[in-house]
Amino acid sequence: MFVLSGYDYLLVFLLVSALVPLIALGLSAVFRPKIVSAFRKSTYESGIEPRGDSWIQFNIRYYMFALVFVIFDIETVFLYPWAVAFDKVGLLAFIEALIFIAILVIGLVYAWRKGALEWT
Amino acid sequence: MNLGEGVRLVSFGILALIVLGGALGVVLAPSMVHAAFLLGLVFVGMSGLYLLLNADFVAAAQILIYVGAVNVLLLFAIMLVNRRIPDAAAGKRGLRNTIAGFVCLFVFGSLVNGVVRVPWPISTETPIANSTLRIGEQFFSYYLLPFEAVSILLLLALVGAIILARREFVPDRTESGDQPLVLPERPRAEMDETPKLPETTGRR
Amino acid sequence: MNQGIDLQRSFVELLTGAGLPQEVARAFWLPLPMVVILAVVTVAVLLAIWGERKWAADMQQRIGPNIVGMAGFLQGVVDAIKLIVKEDIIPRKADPWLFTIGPILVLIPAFFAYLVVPFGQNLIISDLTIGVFFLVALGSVAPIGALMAGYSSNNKYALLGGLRAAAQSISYEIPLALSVLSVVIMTGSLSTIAVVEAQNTYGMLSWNVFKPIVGQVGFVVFLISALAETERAPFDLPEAESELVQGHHTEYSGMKFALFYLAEYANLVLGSLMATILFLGGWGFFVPVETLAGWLGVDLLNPVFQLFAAFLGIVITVLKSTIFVFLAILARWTLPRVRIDQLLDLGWKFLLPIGLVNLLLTAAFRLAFPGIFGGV
Repeated sequence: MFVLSGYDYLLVFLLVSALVPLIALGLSAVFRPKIVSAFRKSTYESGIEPRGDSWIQFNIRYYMFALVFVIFDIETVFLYPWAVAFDKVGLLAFIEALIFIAILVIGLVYAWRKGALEWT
Repeated sequence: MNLGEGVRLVSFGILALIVLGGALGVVLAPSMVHAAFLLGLVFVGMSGLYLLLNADFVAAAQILIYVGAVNVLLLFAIMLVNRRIPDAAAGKRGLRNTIAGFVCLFVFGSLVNGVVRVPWPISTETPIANSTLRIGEQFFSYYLLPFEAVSILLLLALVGAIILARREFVPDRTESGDQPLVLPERPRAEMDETPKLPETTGRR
Repeated sequence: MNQGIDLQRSFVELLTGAGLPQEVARAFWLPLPMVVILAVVTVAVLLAIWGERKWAADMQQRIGPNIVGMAGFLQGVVDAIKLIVKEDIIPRKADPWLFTIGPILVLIPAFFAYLVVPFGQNLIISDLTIGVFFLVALGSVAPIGALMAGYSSNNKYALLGGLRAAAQSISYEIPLALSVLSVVIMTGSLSTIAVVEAQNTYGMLSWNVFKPIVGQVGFVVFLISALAETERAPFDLPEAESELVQGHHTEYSGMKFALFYLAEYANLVLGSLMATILFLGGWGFFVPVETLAGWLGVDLLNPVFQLFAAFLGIVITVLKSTIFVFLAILARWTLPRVRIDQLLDLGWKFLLPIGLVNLLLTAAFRLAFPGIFGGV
């Protein structure tokens, strides 16, 4: 049994908004010139011949931020039901949420102190 | 059967195909990065299946967490270690694949066996439309302790991840106040040399 | 408040009169509001591009586009046609599939999000119960597209740009979600319609931005995070033309580049509309609509007044979001780009703690003064 309302629009709108880029690319495929030239297809690195592989070793920091992000993203997801039901659940829930957030703030402080949030 | 039911049936079929096809792709794709992107597709398909089960909040949370966070983390990790290391065991690939195939078939068979045998309880309750509100109410009445336990779990995950990542990749900061300033990513000596052409050609 | 004019019912009745079953008639109705919204978005994007170019030119004492149409007004249309007939280059070393899917994946969420953006009481495609959460969830898909484009280009600049785009996007998602959460607490619902209606009980005074302390703090946190999410200057590190050429757009040409460009401005307009809905009372006029009807001396259910009110709602939504679009343009052309460590410090060490404190303050205020901080 399907009880949610408004999701027929969601399905159709997903199809419509997926069609927009496809139509745009299709139109372009009809009208654009097809010139094949080896030089055009070379990698553009400011006019200098690319040296080495482009799968370069990048900074580990990106990974650290993604790690911390996953944790806090999950936290915010848990807070949405709390915010929606706030009227119904009242003071006790506020204290519970306070504890919930406080525990995660400890995590934030830990990450901060350990330098996981430092770029340099 | 009316129009709505038909559309849902077709959507279920398409979503199931996306999930199964994507999952097969994740396993079989030769490139790790392709596999990671296909995993994102699988997550999106799962979210659609949740939606068909009236779980709108869970569906959106699936997108937010699995596609928006976990998949990005995976991609970062894969791109970080993305080195083209020649496969040392290339010769034994056939044997390895055969063994892996048998193991997979065995696991699949036992799973199917379990799925078919277990008498799954089917809920006869009418689904509710505003599931977010219900989830919130349940969090602060019946599932209060698990809710708080989640925060502890998240804290432990964060601390553990930072400890592991620091040990693996990030050297502890040393007292280097008296060292001259250097550009670590491009040592001076290397810049002065002209690139040696014979080394770079023929690598691929 | 009222029922408004039900275009859908009349349309369905017209088709059922012609002998079609009810459901099929409804299925025919479905795409119509969507096409209208998409057309509106496209026009809004063209207007935003034109406005930005003209204003930027004014700031730099240039003239800007001035040939096609009145004051260069149609320049965007001509540019779009130009990009359609441009050659499409896929670099030899690129991964052709991911290279093509990347821009599509960036554009689809940007358009799809307009599903829950209301322009008036009934002027919304679909009022989902998880409306605001849906917007946040769709916003989180953006880094995947950027990473895909950056990786598949097989270009050092593109890869760095894609990585930066993803890192920046995830860093500002949490402050954004926290400021949205404080609005949800004040509303008690995730539906965008409910968020706007909760702000229009006393006209302008009940807009979320005028809620003491928490309203303003949440508003500023939201504005900074939303600006960072659009990846425009001063937060344009992923593109950073002086160091990364064009970031993950570097190898793109023709229509695929146009898709990125369109998505950027569609996201800008979307962010402005979100700010309007969440903090500035959406389609609400400065006074409640009942008072307005009293001033004009007409009945609230008068059809002419209803039409007028709906029209006024659209105009007001557009005007309010125009403010934010211009704010973003002003920021882009006056502020220097931040460094990546400054960017991450601002997100993680400043906005995130402030967002958390603001959320808890909102909840505490809501408990202490439910009359002021609740829409009910």
